[in-house]
Amino acid sequence: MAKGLDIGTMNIICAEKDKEDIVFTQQRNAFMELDSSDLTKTMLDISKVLYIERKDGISLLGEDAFKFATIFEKEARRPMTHGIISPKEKEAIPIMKLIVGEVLGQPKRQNEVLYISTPADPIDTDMNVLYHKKTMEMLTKGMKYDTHVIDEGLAVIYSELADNNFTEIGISVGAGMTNVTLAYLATPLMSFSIARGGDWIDEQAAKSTGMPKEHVTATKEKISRLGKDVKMGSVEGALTVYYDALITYVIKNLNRKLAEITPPNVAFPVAIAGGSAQPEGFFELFEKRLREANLRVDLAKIKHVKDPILSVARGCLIAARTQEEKGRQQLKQTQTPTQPTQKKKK
Amino acid sequence: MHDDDFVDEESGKNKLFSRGASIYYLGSMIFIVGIALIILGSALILFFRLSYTSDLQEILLTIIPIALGTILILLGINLMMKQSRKGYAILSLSVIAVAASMILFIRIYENNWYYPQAYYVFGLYVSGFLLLLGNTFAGSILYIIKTNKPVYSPIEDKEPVHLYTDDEIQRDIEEATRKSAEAAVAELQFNDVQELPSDIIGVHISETPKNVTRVKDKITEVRSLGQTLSPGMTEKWGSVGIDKASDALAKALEPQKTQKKGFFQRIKEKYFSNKPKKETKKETKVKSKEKKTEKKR
Repeated sequence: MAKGLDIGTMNIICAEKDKEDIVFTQQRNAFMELDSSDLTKTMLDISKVLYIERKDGISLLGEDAFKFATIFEKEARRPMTHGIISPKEKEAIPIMKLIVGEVLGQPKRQNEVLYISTPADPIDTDMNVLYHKKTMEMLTKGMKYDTHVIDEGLAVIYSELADNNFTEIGISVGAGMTNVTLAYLATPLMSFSIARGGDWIDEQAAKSTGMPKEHVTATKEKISRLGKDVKMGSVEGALTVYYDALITYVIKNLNRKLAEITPPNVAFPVAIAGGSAQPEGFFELFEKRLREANLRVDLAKIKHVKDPILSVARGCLIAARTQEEKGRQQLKQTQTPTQPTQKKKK
Repeated sequence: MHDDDFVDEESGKNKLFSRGASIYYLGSMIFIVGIALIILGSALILFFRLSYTSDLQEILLTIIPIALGTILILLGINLMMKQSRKGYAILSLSVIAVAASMILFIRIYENNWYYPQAYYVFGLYVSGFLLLLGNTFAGSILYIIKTNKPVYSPIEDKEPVHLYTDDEIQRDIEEATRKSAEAAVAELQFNDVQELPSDIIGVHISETPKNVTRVKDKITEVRSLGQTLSPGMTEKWGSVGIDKASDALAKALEPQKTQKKGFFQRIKEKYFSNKPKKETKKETKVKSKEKKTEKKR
């Protein structure tokens, strides 16, 4: 049994196959500190909240940290920022280890194949993702998984457009980053990331409206539709504006990077996924801007992904199962006897 | 202005060329005359059977062509080679020295061939000879250097030098840094992966409800991806690839006799089908006997 793991700035999602279904286990990549007391611990135990007990306090983990932060009007801390482990958070690695362990679970057998998603190198900031990749790889290898790393954009390609022989442009709009990959026959020709995503939209909207960032994030996740008919001074209006700005920024950078390569002369379909691609109207807006942009490659259909938030994890699972299948075939080939030996005469 | 210079230069080159050619022909003529004189001198040696006791006139007639011939050969070679002004000056000087020595030799040989006059003649001749020889040597070396010019030509003549832009240099540095970092990261091993920080007393995760989504999905992309990444891979089950089609075709083409018939099918065929029944062994024997008797008749 193979698994796929999407390690995102906002969510950590594990995908695994269970008979005819895929089971996605999701957890917020966040934590929040509380003062420790017996009463608090009892309350948390009754509420079945995920937490760790420290010498100097309690840290709530995952979805509960996010909920409590909203209730107490505190800011939930994030182990990751801009797609990689946050250098500002000392606790980032142990917290992530716990969340990943909780989502992933123990492997069903030794060296179970696991594909984890990581961002590609960003082009608009002086940041390197190598150390993050290695840390995540080692973290999961420590759990006795046979870990492989895959770009987020490529995971979207694997997940969404198998009909096109995996020749397409995959875009994952996450919270910390936006990842873009152009692949030809499942082989990435160009992969890059942009250090802007859902968090950037939240920050800009919060600055524009004077609302706390947490409130903007909560509104963004509940927003029914991105549209231009909004109330004056509303968060929705600001979100629409900054979603549009992010899309334009992504497309401009995509066109710039396309100028650096010589892509094959085929029409590329585009799949847009990721946690920040969920609001209704986002896909239509992206498609409109893509068609207007005159990209350096021909565009075929632009696919509306059904579950954008689960797409990367699903792509990782596909990659993992393909790897597992390949390993199985190689094992069979090595085990098949070459030629039957002649029996010795008695 | 430039055009004028160019014309002058061209005409100058032409003048030099014509003068060089005439000198070359003159040099070769002198060279041939020199050889002829040496042959003549050698012939006279044989003719006069020259020895210590030979007649003075005979010695004079023999030595002069050989001495003159040697000088003319060297002079001819020098004139055939390109000469600088200094070269021509050396040639003139050596010719004067040799001519003076020859005149003196002719004048004094018969009557006054004593010390130190004989040494003056010999000294003048040898100095003229050595000057010509030295000039020939210098001219030859200069010629060799000029003909092997490509060896000493600057590198830029051979292959164009690519001047890197700042962007290219920056990109190269970034690429090298990236590769170095990748290599370093690949070698990195964390020895505390299993450990949690010492200040964590307990982890409460056992009964936490997880956010689980279950989706009906057969993920057929796995096989498509496997085929795309390894096109040579054959599919055992063959639902997508060509294997299924070939299996189906093989089944369709399979002869009917190999198909296993059920019990009822056999009874139906035996008693209720319109097909002619198979002949029993007895019937075939009777038929063959009948055929044999017909042949005998």
